[in-house]
Amino acid sequence: MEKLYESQKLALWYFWTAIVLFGAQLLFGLIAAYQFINPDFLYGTLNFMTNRMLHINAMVVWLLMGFIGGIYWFLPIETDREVVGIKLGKLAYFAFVGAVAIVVLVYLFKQFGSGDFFTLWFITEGREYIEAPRWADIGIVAVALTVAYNVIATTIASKKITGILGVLIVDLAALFGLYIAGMFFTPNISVDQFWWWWVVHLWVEATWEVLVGVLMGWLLMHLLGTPRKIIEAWLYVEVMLVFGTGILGLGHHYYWIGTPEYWLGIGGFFSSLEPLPLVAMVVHAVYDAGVHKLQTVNRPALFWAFAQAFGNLFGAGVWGFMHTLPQINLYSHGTQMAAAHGHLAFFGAYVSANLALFYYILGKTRVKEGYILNGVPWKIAYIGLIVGIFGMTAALTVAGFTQTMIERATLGSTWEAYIQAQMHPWMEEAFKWRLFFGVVFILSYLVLLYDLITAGKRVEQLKEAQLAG
Amino acid sequence: MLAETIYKLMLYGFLMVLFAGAYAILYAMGRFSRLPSLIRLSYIFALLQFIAGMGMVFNDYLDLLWKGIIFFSTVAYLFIPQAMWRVVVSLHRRHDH
Repeated sequence: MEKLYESQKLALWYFWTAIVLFGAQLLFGLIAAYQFINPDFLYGTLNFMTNRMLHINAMVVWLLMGFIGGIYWFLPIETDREVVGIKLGKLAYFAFVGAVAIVVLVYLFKQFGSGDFFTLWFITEGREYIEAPRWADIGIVAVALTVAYNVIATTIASKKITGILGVLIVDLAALFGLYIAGMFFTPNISVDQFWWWWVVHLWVEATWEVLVGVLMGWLLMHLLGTPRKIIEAWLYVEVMLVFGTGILGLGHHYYWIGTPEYWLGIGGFFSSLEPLPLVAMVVHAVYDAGVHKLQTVNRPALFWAFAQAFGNLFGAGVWGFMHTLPQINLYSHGTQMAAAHGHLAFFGAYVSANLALFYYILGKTRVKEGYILNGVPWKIAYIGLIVGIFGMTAALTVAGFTQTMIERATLGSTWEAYIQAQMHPWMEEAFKWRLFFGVVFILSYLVLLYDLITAGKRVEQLKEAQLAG
Repeated sequence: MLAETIYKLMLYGFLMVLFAGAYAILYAMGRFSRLPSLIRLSYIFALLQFIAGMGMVFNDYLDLLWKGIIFFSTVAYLFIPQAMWRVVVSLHRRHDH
């Protein structure tokens, strides 16, 4: 076990906070899932709208914290030195955690206010997925700026720029820059939504994808010993493909918000191409799996890395493409179909990546040279989380299918049609199955938590042949 | 009628990318492990992918532009696994030398 840089200790703080928030995300999600079946549950105390908001906001924050943790872990290794603004980084961490705590408390106890600037600044901005009040928005940008400063200043101080660092620096500029787009205020709802999607889509389907590409690149280099040249060449290909299709793929969110009709063509065209790079990427994942014969000193990290490659294809590619054409999306937009796609895509692309990184870090900090991090609990958690997420996705797909076919395409999107679809047996059964698989997921999370806390106690000694290899 | 059309389009779209993924995975596994049977199996998924794509192309609900985009995608999926395999192998070979 090597001596840790201060930056790597900070990375561990970020990861543990992220894992706790992951639990909070699941708890609020489970309550919201039950409220679909029993709408009276906690009505007036913890309303569905608050649970859903906390479920999604907690996800955004914990994933972001995991990514920041990953940056702080690998940055000193990449630059061979301590991070320049480490004190600032720690200050930003405490500010971030404090801000999240205050925002959650306000969400829980105040929940909403009158439609004025006080509410916008101190309670909620009211924008779906990015409800954080304006002061917290500024805080998020400040934290992203701090990370960007630390990466740039450390790179300059080390007098060493690598291809991966170059991509990371450009991506971090986009990370805080695009978030600012979500802070415009305009009374025109179409214009408002136009910018809002820059945060929601471009953050997730462009900057986060590239950030995860950088982190997974570092992970593969250090976990599997994949040569830097291959990682960097592949990263450039990935950036080209993801940006080439993902940026204008934004158009699929512009179909029905009052933007000009040409967005139907632009959005549909680029969205249709979005699965192409995902299919291409699994070829490399299979190649890497073959080269390493699934053998490494950190089994859970490797398996979560593969879950990331394949999960991205299923969640973003398969579930995304089936309702991305405007002709279909006219009927499926905003139904549970989008929730099905969202659940699987986020799990595949980002949750898996964060768990791979966290296991890798725990392996480095707790497992002695010559041993393999392995055991039974991580396998139970791995299978349980995957079964849980696919079960929830399948149930939500059935619910979304019911809404698309019955409420929209058959009955014509009237209020009565909405009620009929909500009361349809397919819908009711689907929500029950979603809750069941939600319970499976949260139980698997508890096993995961146990494994993360005790990781390092279950190790296997490397065999002679493996050591020689 | 409309619901049936939408349902078919969604199903074909779902299957098209699913089969494209299965083709890519099996093809890469077959090439890596030098198993011609696995490569042949992957071609079945390539064919299924193409059939699913054609299901969308021959749907009257889509106009010519969209039929063209889907046709391009379904043909691209046929060649992606082989093209990517060459890219990946040459990347590694270049490094090894």
